[in-house]
Amino acid sequence: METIAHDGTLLIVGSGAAGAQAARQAIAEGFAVILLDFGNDDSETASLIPDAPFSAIRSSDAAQRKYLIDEEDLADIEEIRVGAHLTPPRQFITRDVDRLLPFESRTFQAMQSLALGGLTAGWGAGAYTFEDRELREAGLAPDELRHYYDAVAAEIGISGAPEDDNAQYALQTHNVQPPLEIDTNARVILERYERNRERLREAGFALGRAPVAALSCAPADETRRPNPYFDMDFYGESRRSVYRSKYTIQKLLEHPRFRYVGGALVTRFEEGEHGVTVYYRPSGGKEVAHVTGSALLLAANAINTARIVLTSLNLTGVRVPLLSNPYHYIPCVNLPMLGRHAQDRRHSLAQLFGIYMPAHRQWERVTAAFYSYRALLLYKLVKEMPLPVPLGLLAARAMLTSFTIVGVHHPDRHTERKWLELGKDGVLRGGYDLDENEKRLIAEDLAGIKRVLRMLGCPALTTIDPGHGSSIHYAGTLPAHARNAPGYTEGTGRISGTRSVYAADSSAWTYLPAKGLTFTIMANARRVASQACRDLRRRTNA
Amino acid sequence: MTRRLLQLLRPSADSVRALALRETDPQRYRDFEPIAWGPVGNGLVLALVAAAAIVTLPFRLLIGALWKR
Repeated sequence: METIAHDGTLLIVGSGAAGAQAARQAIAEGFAVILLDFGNDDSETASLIPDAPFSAIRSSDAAQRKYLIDEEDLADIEEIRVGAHLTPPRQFITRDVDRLLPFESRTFQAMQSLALGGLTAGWGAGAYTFEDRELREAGLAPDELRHYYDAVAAEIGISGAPEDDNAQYALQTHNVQPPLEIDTNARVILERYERNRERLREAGFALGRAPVAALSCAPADETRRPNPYFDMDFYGESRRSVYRSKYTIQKLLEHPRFRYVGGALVTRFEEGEHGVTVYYRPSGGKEVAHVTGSALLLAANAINTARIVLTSLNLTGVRVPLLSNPYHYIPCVNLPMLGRHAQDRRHSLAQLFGIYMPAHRQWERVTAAFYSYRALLLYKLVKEMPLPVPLGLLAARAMLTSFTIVGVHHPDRHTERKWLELGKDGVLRGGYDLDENEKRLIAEDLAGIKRVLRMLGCPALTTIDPGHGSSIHYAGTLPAHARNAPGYTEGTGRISGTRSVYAADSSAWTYLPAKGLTFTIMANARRVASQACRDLRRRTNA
Repeated sequence: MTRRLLQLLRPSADSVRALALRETDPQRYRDFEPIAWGPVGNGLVLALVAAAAIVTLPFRLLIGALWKR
């Protein structure tokens, strides 16, 4: 058992999008930080990946099988889905989760992480600002967040096109680098959009290049370089061009007021006379250690932050809400590209990002991210086709340069059918179901998006529903302003009933827009950290 | 019913596994390169694939039903 007491020190749990930015903010405001994190990282696979384009690797690297496919994947081939999630070099992101963060649900597949950098270790890097109305619905103050969006953008590097039609809805921040180059496939789609702009805008659709947290130019940070367009962004580090929260943690390690406690599985906290004590199991073992600080910021992702709060406040058997964007993906064929040669040079992230504003949603947005398909291997496509392998492979090769996957996210609000509950056995359980009205809205969203896709020359082949939780966007488990609800948070992010424990991630949100939430999580984490620092200063001066 | 039929027609796990191993063999990368023969050329390829799929459909359904029972 280890006891360390610090005065005026902030404790932070989690090194992901929220934890890293909260730590950055607290250090900038002059406070000491102890960041507790389990911190799994990839120790083997990343070093195998050559610094070369996908096409060059395919024709030359004898070791490519070790990082392009996974032995476990091949053993359970029925479970492989088309999509970028967890390529072999990213498998470490969910390592140990089943054992250490037990979660059960028949209706919701939660992806949790104990990785250094959390889920940003494998995210798609979409970097979108929420509009003012979306922020207010989520329980966040637009005036406060705008400043923090700019601060985060300056640190992590965001590339985007403020002049594109989608920017007014999703890129309201300064410090933006020029947009990444889009590939041949995306250029053809965007040109068609521009030729038909009026009709598409009337249909409620605005398209542009996707804002992403990836560098198009050299940054001030000499450890990162611009994206090389190798189409390996879902496998390797791409010269660290795509931002991962662990890069912030690595920089903070050089700071004398920052301490990183790795291998720490945080289980609960307790407030006392001397501050907040956090209990953790080193390496997830049976021993328990603890550390005490003046305030605690929980940034372990909405699901795990809820787990820690429910455990600490003895709220077993009590249901708390759960928000998660419903998600579908639509494989389609960009007909004008059929049979055309595509340039090899590309990045793997979303090429284009569309905002859909249908009348049936009133003011709410639905989003559509456009991906080309090259580096995710053909066998995953052939597997899904009702064809023998030789025919499936021929069809896949004939469609490859025109094949486009459109990822559609829908907004989410709380209902009684979306919940988490901590059992007495320590297992977190969850349920997620859509009511009839939500199902109707989503069906209308998809019909509208497919109409837009046809107008763009990209008829849909099918629509795939990968199941609830597959968006990996989670929020609202400790919602702000939900008075009389257990574990609710106040507008500042402080957990009700505590003096100095804050939810720095998306657990306090009361609404989840369709846009990817990570950039907003980062900005909000800085806001919450700043609030915690202000509260601490006030208490010290009182 | 449609889903079950599609399931019968999908390739077996073993054949997909073999395909994945071939795809990551640098000696075989040309077998997986995109075909870019223009819209007419590629359209013909897809039409031929569709025709072959339809002609062989009864046999594949039977084999799929026997194999996956």
